[in-house]
Amino acid sequence: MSFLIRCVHVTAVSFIFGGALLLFLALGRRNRHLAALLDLMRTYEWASWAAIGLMVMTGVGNLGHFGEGLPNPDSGWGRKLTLKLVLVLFFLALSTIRTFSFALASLESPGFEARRRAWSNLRGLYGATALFVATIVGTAISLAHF
Amino acid sequence: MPEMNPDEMLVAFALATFETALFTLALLLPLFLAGSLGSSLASLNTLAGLMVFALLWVSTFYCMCRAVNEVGLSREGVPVLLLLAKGAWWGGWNGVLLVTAPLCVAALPAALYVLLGWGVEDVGRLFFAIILFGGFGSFVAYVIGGAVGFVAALLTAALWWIAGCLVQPERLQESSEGS
Repeated sequence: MSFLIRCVHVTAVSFIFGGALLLFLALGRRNRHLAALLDLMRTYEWASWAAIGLMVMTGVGNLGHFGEGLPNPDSGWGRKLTLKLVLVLFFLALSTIRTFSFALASLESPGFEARRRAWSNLRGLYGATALFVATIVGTAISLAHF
Repeated sequence: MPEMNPDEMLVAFALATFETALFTLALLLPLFLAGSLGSSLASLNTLAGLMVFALLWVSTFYCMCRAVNEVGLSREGVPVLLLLAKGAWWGGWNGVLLVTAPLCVAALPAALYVLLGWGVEDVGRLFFAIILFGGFGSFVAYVIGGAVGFVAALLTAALWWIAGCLVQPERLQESSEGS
């Protein structure tokens, strides 16, 4: 059971990271297929929130696996875990802003396609998502191996 | 489920997941810092924990769909007072759902068990206890859920405003000119 929970956790995080990076790269090109990109972004937004739910759900399961053996919050491991949880809180807020931005862009479509600055901000949000997830993954690797 | 356009549905799903995750972390982090998370999680079965999270997620999504549908999405911004009112109202109902759903699920097997072992009068007594507990529990859950929903709606309004400024940069200019 704990192996399955860890697999779901890692898969969910990989999807969030990979999808955000792909959209960051796709939005950067002078692409004429903006309507298609909006569809791709909508699919990513749905799937990424499902992945975030699974990530949090299985994250609690991972912690539960430690049981009474969960290290003290004052230990080095405990401080790293606190940092990871705080980063996740900020990541949740960032993801919500990104989804709201997408929803507003979609409401304005097709007029939105002409607004380069707003597109660039949206692209920045996908880049920030990828960067944030990479930082959280770095903390998670540090928790697991160091 | 109310009829909604795909973007409203997406926003409801995102907000439901955001608030469920936020609520979970808001419980987890203080427990961990107090040093009692390990013992709390050790007493909770993994499958039961996953089911509790899933129930919270589904009920929040249902209530969020109703709230988003009643507030409505608009590129001009959301009416903050209506958002706060609907956040508190549907937050309260979410609390009631969270108390009554497990109670209903538990009531049926308990009734069968009592019926087989004790008798018809005891089933009546059991249901009276469930209704009494459900009624009082629902009232408390509505008040707590309403308060949580109000705070969550405040946070939502702030995040929606930030998103609006990013996608409609002219809005930031308008608000700075207005002040």
